[in-house]
Formats: sequence, C-alpha cells, structure tokens
Amino acid sequence: MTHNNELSRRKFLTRMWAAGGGLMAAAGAWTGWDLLRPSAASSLTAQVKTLPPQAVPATGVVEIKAARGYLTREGDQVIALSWKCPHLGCRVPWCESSQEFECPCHGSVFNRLGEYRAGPSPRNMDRLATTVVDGSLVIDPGNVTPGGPLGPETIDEPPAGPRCIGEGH
Amino acid sequence: MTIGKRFRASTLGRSVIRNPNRVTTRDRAAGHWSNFFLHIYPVKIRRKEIYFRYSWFLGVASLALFGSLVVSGIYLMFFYVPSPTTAYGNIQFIQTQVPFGQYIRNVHRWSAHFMVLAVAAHMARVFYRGAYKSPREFNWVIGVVLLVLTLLLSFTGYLLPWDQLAYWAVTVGTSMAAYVPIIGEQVSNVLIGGQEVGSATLIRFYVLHVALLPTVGVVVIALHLWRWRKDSMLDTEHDQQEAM
Repeated sequence: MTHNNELSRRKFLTRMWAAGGGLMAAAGAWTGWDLLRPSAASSLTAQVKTLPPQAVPATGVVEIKAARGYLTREGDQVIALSWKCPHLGCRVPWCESSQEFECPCHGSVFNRLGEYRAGPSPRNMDRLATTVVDGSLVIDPGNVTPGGPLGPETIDEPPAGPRCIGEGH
Repeated sequence: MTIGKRFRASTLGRSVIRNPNRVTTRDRAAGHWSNFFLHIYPVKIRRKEIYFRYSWFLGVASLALFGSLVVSGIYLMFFYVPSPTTAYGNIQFIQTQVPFGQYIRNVHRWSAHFMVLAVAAHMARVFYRGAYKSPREFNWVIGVVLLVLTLLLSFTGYLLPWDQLAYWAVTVGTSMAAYVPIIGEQVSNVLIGGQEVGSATLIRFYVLHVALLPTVGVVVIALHLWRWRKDSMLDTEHDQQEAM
C-alpha cells in the first residue's frame, strides 16, 4: 500500500502532462499576442516638414494632414496640436465660423490653443513635438504629449460666431 | 408502401437510419436518440415546456437568426473583399448589381439587429423566470459568453461597410477599449493593428467576424444546447418551491 503523500508514477505523469500543456498554452498565447501586436513600422514615424514659423497666422489654424494635426500660434511660439480627440479618438475639425475646435462625435469643444471649453473630453487637446530645421517647422507625429488637465483658458478668444456642431450632441 | 418506407426498408436505408420502424413511442425515442441532428433535443420533454408562454421561444429565435446570419453571410462573402479600396464599392455592387443582393444584405442586417434583441430578451426572460437557478447556473454562464460573442459579432460586422458611420463608430469603440485599466491600451492596439483605424483594422475585424467568432459561437451554442437538454428534466428551485 502506498502512502498518500508519496508521488506515484501516475500522479507524477499527470502533473508533467499538465505542466507541459500549461507551458504550450502560455507559449501559444504569447506568440499569438506578439503576432497580432502592431509593428513599429505601422506607427506614424515620418517627420513632416511644414511652413516657416512666421508663416503661421495669429488667428485661425493651419491644418497639416500628413501630420494628423494643426499648427497654431501661441504668442511668439507655434505649437502643433493632434487632431485626435482626447475623448474617444475622432478627428476634431476647426470650425471657421466660431473659431474653435469642435468634435462632431460627442461635442467636445476646444479653443484655438486646444484648451478645453465644453463636452466630455477629459483633457486639453494633445500636442505633437515640433522642431525647426532650416527655418521650417518639422512635426514629429509619433511624439505625442497628452494635453494638460482641464483648467481656465489662457487666451481670451470667445466663440466668434455660431458653432458648426448642433446643440445637444 | 411509400417511398420513405421503402427507402428505410432497403439495405442503404437501414445503414443510414438506425431505427427504421417508428411505430411505438419507444421506437420514436430510439430514432430520436440515434439521430445526430435531433440528439441536441431531449427525447422527452414536459408538455408545459413546449408552450409559447413557457419561453416565448426566444432561445429558438436566437438560434434561427444565427442560422439566417450564417447563410446570408456566406452569400455576402462571395462578393466582398475586405480592403479599403474595395470594401465600400463591393457593398454598392451587392446592393445594385447582384441579383437579390440587396435582399440578402438586408436579411443579414436585420437578422443581426433582431438577434441582439432576441438574445437580450432571452436573457431577461430566463432571469425573470428564475430559470438560471440551481441546477442550471452554469448554463447561465455559458449564455453570458454567448451574449458577449453576439455583441462582438455585431461590433466587428459594423466596420465592414467601410463608410463614415462605420469608420468613426469603430474609432470610438476601440478608443473606449483603451480606457480599460492596464490592458486597455494594448487591447485597443491589437484590435486596430496600428495607430489609427485602417486596412489592418479592416482585415482583423473581417477575420474575427467571418472566422474566429462564428466558430467559437457554434461550439459554445452546441455546449449551451447540450446543457439545456441535460438539464431540461431536472426540477429547479422554482419548481420545488411551487410543489411545496
């Protein structure tokens, strides 16, 4: 008669099979996950050469499609805003009549500097890194800085006219 | 002698149908038992279970809609290529050029809407009846898995027309996934297959929609029906309370 705490041949083999199966499952899950993860090549890495900083006007924004964003003037500086809404990722268009960014999906509104004004967005619009190369602004669309927390606006530019999105969105 | 009876009496018929003589109740039960397609149903069932008011036939309705979706979906697959350059045009072609194409697409679309409704109603009905209680708790769990599969099928199918509505709905949906703590960002990236919804997302959603999710669905549906058959003659807590 064998003792209960003795590792029998059957118990040992059962455990080995279970361990082997577990290892195979873990390896399969890891391989599958790694296989499906987007490669680094699929992200936006190409630098986008745009205008000289002085060409960005003091009012309105300049849309840079290739960088998925806008250039806008903050005093002497020019900043690049990502057009991806911080709320749920829709593209935020610039509304000419109100001179604001207005997201058509859920109604988030931002001022010309991407500062939060209304809607469900949890933060200000994200910013893209910029450098000046040979007198031209170059945007790095892969280098995104999350927008700052909600707070008072730093510029006094109230809506210039009717909004592009309807009320109640 | 009818053709059916002559076939059953022949050598070929007897090799196909194990219990050819359906005379007594026992014969019929044996025939039912040995039939692969019928064996998912119980051989005997309580009379009250086949009344409309017992279940409102919501589970059967869900299954019938799933069947309709598989058939109409296979038709649509003959005409649809999941690529940003072709997808929207293929849908237009199905709607305007393919004989019965608009009909088949509408069957697929409406069956999908009704299946979500039927599954939700089935869940509510099972809940109100107390049919999830012991000894049927595990079938409730399987049912919740089926609900999630139904919603995932619905969501992945939404992107395939590749129009503005689909594009932004999936942008929003995958961004919602990114709000899940710790794994959210990774899950969202794997679903999208890149930084933004694009060709990689379309092929991923297509494979999920036509291959992975339906296959898992069929297996889990089979499990759900098998559990239902095994549990159907068992008394629930509800029945026991009524008997007292």
